[in-house]
Amino acid sequence: MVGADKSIYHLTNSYLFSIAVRYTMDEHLAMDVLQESYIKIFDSLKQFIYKSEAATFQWMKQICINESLKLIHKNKRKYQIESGVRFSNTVFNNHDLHVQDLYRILSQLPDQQRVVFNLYAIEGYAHKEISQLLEIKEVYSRTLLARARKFLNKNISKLNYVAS
Amino acid sequence: MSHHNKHNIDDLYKNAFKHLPVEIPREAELWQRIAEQKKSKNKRRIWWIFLALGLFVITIISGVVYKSNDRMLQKEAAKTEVAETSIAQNLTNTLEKNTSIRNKSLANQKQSKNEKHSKASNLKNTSSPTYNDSQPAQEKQKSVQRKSSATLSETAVGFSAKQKAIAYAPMVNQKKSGITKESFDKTQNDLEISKAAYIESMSALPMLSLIPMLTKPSTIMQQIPNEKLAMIKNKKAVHSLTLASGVNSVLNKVEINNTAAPEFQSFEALFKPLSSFNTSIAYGYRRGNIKFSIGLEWQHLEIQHENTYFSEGQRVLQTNPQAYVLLEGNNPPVYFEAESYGSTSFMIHELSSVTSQSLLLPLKFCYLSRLGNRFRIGPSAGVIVNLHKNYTGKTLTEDGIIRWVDNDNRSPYLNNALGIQLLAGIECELSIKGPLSLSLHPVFRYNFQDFFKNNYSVNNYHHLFGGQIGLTYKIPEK
Repeated sequence: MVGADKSIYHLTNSYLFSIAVRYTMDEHLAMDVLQESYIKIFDSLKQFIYKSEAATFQWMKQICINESLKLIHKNKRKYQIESGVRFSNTVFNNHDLHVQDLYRILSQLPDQQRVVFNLYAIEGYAHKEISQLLEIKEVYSRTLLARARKFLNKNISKLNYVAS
Repeated sequence: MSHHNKHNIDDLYKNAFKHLPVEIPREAELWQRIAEQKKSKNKRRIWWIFLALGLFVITIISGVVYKSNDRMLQKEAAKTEVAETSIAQNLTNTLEKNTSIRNKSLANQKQSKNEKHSKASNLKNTSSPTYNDSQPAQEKQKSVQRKSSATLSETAVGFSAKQKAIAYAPMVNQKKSGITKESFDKTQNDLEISKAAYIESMSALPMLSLIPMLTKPSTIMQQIPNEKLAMIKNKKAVHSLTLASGVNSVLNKVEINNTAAPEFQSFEALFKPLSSFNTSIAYGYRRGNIKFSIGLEWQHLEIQHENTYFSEGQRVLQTNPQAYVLLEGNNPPVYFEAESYGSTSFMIHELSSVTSQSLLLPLKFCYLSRLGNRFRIGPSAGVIVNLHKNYTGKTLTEDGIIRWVDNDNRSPYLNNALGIQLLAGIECELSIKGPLSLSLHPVFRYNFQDFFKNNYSVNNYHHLFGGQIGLTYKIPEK
């Protein structure tokens, strides 16, 4: 069983780490998130009903997001992207802007706006789901998203990035 | 921002980061940590639950033991009272003999100038003592000298044998003569035995092995997506209603002050398990980890006064002078005095109880931390406004002598008053299902007020240590 756990770990850790960094904006916290997430994943594997690879990965992602939000709440501080975070060589080729720039701009958002934007724009959560997850009102979730978008647009424009 | 731009920015980030792998620094180290935590995870215990449950169980059990012992002791006390009644009867008979002896001696005195006069014992409960006014002043002066050389009879010593002796305030006047060492030692020994028996009855049972609470952790599937987690800032307030009942053990501090008789001053501290029961309803408001609650509580408190004083009673079996031991009876308890040539002995015994009722308005704050998915725990503190009223029962009166009397009406010595208690404790909440949760609340309450009236010779303070168990319903938001 240990072998299987390790295999799962190696297959998914880089993706989950990417998620954790996006929420926590801190390498060390992201490692803590990953640790807690994998403990929960391995504990729950017995009860988990396999449907598909995508569904399994989605399940693991959601655990990672939940743990990230827990840790953010616990620490409650602004996070700065660290230059030590290394990315794979995958670069978004359709845009001139480097992924690190996008991360940097994303990191400048206040915590709540960044989380709502991550959940809505990247993970695909609806506002109703976000409001239940964050225990906020749906109207407030929309407001946070609008503010995040405004900030990101403004800063990306400064970089002379043009969307296709 | 235009609709087009909105989607552009969303898509930009989504496309960039949705499935973007990021290399983990020190990956092997992370796996090591995960592997170690997996091993130690099974050993982890939510020990707070065990502690709270253990305290609660111990309080319940000690209360059951106390109540069963109390019944046993009351039976013993009843037997003792019966014995004392017979002892009292013996003393009364002895007294009558003494009276006849005295009369003979008085008669002899009239006949002889060298015979000394005796002094009757002073009855202070119903009638004033009558003294022989024909006694010369010098002889009266001599009467206050402590010359008695009488010894106690065994029947008089038997009065001290009670099982519920507590703190012993020696009443023996060191200047009294005629008190035999043997009788005094026997009395002291009886009191020590009684005290030891009482302490043994109050001792708590050995710590029970803690029963682990088996909680099946929520599966991860249940976390998705409806699980509520405390997130960045919890903007939502949670309202709740809690019904609870509880028991308390009472730490009772009694001070008896009688400036007219300094030998009565004493201090006693009693610990009574399960002497207080309460029921409450409270409204709670929680935002994040901070909780505030306010409610109403009814509490029934049994304050027991137990005092045993003993001093040597003297019974003079001489023709001159003579002393008398007079008794009023044993039920209600007695106070009697024997006086011989100015030496005075006091004996008060019996126990009684004074009960009161309180309506409490508790106001408390607590800070809750989450442990696991369903359990919260944290410290709490607050104040309780205590609307106190007295209750029917026996009361302690002081009309020249101190005695207990039956009083079907409310005691004239207890106040109907407003008091303040401070409380501090631990609050635990365990989610059962949906909006329902179980709450446990071990607490200590410190009472500032003494609810006896100022002109009363007894000051009584009680502090409570116990716990409440309750059911909380979280009011759903519309």
